[in-house]
Amino acid sequence: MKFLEQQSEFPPILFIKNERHFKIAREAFRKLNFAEPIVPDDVDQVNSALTENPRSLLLMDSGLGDVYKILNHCRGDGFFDLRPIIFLCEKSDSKVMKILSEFRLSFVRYGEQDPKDFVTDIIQSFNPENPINSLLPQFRQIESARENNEDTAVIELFENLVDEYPQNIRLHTEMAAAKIKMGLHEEAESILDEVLIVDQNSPRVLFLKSQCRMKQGDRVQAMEHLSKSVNYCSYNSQRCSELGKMEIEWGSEDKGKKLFLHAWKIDKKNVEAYKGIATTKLLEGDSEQAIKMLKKISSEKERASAFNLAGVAAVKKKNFHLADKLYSQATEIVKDKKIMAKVIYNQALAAAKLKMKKETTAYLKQVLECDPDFKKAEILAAKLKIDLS
Amino acid sequence: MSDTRKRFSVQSDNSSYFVEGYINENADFKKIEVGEGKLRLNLEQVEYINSIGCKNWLTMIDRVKSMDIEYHAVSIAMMTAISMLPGLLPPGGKGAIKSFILPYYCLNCNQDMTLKISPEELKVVDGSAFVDMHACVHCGNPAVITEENSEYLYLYVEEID
Repeated sequence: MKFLEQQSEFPPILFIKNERHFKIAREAFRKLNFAEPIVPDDVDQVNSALTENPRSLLLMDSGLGDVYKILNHCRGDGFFDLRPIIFLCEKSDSKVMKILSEFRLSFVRYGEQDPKDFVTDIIQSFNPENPINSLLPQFRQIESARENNEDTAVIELFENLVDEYPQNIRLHTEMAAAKIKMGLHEEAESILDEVLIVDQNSPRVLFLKSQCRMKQGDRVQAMEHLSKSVNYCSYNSQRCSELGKMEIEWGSEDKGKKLFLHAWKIDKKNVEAYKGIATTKLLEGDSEQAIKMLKKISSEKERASAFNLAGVAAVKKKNFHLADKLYSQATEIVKDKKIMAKVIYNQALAAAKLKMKKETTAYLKQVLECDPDFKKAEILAAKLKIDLS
Repeated sequence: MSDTRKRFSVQSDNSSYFVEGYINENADFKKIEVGEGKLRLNLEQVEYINSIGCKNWLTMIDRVKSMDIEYHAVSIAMMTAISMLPGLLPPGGKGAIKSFILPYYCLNCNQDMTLKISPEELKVVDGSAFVDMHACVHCGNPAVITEENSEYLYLYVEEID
């Protein structure tokens, strides 16, 4: 089999905890003359191996949380991971199904495995004639267009695929994701609405729908959809931290904190989660700890946004004094003039709410000193009948 | 002899009757005998039923109605007919349907398949009926139901409401 000969030079990645399955897998690789497998110890090592070996087969049996992390890493910024992936799952249930529906896997096998079936699955995962690989050439085209930033081509390729396979809701979903990347939120949302009729519980669809609602300024619906998405699948760190941010903006500090902590626990590289935890510290009055945490974030913009978010939450709770304090602290760590203008503008808003006209005027003047093109400052001054000349 | 006559049959084993093929003017149910206790009808292979077939079916049901009738693995054709004509159900009504066939579609290998579902697996939310995702029989990946708004699920929504 030619398709297997080509594969023999790429070492398979074996992340199997079940001893019997591990032995069977190694035996199968030997039979098929595959290169010696890479055997990572943990999820981070798996993810590094995946990045270094983009064409290697992945065979895994870990818990759902780890599997989600791995599959999410495989997808990266793209729509599909094109390598053969086989997941050995203890048992099938609706939660497993729901979570796996976000990803493209060659095979999902449940329960104890037979050595013969194992070899067959590995062979078939590479077989271009197998139905599981029927869309692989088109997916390759899509991924290649995406890597070259040919957004219009990506959409066209998706549209052709969707015309050919109108029943495949995953294609519709990824087409909507591509449209969101292009900023075509309205078109994306109408596709997602159709998908939600067929599958109203898909975590990815609900997340994308939430993004569309957010773009339209409908925070209530955005939050509702994102909450549902996180409820159905709490393994996605990015979604948890986004929901945490929404909760904080909404004034629900406790819920926000829990979500940020959860997101951080899942993914220690999630800056948004880390920033979110610092934000909750600020709101709790533990500025010292928060600043200590924020100093570890290299981006000034990111650091300032934590203070900004805490300020927004304080305003939401009508605690304008705290907001004023938080914005002042933010200005101490920001050096970029444009970011500084935004922060001081928010501070001006808090001061205006406190009816501190003198301070508001001073803040707005500072905003324009930092960024003379910051029109919102002039509009606010006009509304408050403040003369900035 | 017409093709449709060839395509109807009633087979039986110790516990069930298996009705297969086209239920039309040629459908003869005399093999289904009146007895005591349960009458299990497996309808997985029913491909088609027309108006005269419905009449024949009703006559058969009327003849055996003293028994505790159960419908198993009701095919898509039969479920569609029942939703249009609920009188095709035995005296037990919806409760007599112990399982039925739903068409599924695999998101991974683009293959259509059917799965046997029990009414207990249906979930009714806001006036719509849903069934959990199931694994594709070929690759094990999630498969979605393609008849979410089909008439036969609607039948359950109406009844549950």
